[in-house]
Amino acid sequence: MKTSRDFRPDRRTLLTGTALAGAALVGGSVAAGASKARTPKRPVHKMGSHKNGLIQAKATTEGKAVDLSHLPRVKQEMVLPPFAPKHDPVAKGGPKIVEVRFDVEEKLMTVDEDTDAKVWALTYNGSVPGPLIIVHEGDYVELTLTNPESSIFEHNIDFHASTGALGGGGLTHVLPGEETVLRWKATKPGTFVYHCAPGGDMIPYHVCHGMNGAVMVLPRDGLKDAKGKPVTYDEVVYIGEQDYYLPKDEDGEYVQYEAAGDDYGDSLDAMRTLVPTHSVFNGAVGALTGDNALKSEVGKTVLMIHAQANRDSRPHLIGGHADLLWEGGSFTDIPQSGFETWFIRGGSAGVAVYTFKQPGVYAYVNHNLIEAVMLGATAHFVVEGEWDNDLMTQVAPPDSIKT
Amino acid sequence: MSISIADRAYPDGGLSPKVIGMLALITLTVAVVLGGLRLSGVPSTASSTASAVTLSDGSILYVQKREVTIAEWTQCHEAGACSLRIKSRKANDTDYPATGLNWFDVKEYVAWANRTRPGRFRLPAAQEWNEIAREVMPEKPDPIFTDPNLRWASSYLTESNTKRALRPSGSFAMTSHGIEDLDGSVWEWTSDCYAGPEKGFDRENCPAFFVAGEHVAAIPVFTRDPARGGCATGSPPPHLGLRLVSDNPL
Repeated sequence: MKTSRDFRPDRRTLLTGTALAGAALVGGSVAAGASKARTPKRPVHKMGSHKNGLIQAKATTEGKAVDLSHLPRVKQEMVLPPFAPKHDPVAKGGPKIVEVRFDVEEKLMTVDEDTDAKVWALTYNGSVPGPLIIVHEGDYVELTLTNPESSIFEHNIDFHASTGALGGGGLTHVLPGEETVLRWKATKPGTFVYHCAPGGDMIPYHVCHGMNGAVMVLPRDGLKDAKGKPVTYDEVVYIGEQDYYLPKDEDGEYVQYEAAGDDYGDSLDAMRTLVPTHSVFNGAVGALTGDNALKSEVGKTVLMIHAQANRDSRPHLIGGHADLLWEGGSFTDIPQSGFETWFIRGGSAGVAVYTFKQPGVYAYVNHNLIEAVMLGATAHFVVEGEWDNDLMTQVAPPDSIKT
Repeated sequence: MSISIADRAYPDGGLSPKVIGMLALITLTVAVVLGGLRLSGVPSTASSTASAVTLSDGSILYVQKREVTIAEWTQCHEAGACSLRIKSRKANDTDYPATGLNWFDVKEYVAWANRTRPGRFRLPAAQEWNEIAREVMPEKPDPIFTDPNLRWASSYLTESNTKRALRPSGSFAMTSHGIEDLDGSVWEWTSDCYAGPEKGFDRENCPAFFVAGEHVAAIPVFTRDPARGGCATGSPPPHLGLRLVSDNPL
């Protein structure tokens, strides 16, 4: 059995996205050389390649110095999804620097126990999705990103909530054994995806191996409904939807790999089909059902964040609704209301708020029901409380037809 | 949807009593293997070794020690009697139970097993199965809702210890009679329609049968994979397979 070590002549260069892109180019030029010998070539113009139109990029590498030493610093302890870190719905005091820490962990995770489907997940802090960060507009997020020596891959992070340097992706490349610190200002209130983007095909490879999550930037004075009334909530549920493309052998069984990265070639082939083998909440089939079902009570209000870093989704709460909805995730927008199903664009996170009105079991699904039932995109809420016969009554239980 | 059916409570009793013919034993070649009986007529692999179990009504049931394996299923398929081909890298592995079977598949297998002598093998009734399995079953959890309005949701399992991964035959518990895997990840089809004649169903037009495992579930006859998710308010069985029983010693 080959191991990932075998395909790494020089770990620190080969594993960077650019080194891999270079390797692909070499292969490409060999092929081109071979065809050249047989076919006389006419010049082929590249689309969009017009030298005269080249824009000379003018940017200084040193901007004006910023002194943030007067700002208070707070540490935000990361918690595992579907939970949210401790936070104030309405900001207390002025802007802060919020320190967070992500330790990369490459680990074998079970995607579906029923079929022995496993993935060498690439994670921030060991979970799929990565942890939820919550700050307020005007705060600064200061992230320490560490990539342990034991890792196979280079990693980085692109925050959609941030501005500049490819969302921070250009400033955060860490090879195994390295760490980096990035600070960015939260200028846009809303929910936003973050993800790893090391370069080339490593970008979708990392994202489709779980390396993504969400940030919620709350308005300093909290959430408001369409009439400007404060929106309060009892709990936050953070649902990251993950599409996996797991390689199968000729018998249709999932291939088992010995180390992170061993699935690289097979994964790219599977990803190219654009047909996921799994679409799951919280990294695995059943991660939010049964023993792990979400709990709530009649009268309680839940704020549901739905993040999908790669692929469109359409959340629906079976037996309930979205009372309020920030579908695109921007809290600058007035929330919509009374939705049955909402749309989460791949590469975004949105927010729905709902107050439970009936007890029982609710299924929170991707309402492409093939994905919900057969690919895994289902969570359950188990809700305590008193049944409301006005809202629903079973007038006659199912019985033989008598008419 | 499968769920509305699966959520119905398992009816007490109502199972047709089994008649045991102790005299029909004479003709067949019998191989006694480790305290069990080889059921001739099915391939001679592990699952064809049977154990005799005395039930509470005094009758004796001869139960396959293991679920029907993929190798056995493949023989049925290759004989042209079972239309489903189980495609699996474990297909040549005698140690895995045959799974992904719906009611029609199972009916074909039972017919094939009985090809030399009709009526010899059958599926267990749910009550028989429960009796055989009782000693290895986990305790039944309390319903999570007691309000009658919430009966549709009360069987939802929040503390399930269901084992879901498919494992080789013999990976799970063994009863004192030597019967294995009753508490495993394969739920076994029973001969019980989820509703009796009072609902207008007999076995020929029954839309769903009980399958037996950690909990009893009613599964529609077409279902091969009771996938988790959607509006399913429970922990559906991970895999569907079968185990044969016989009323007669062989």
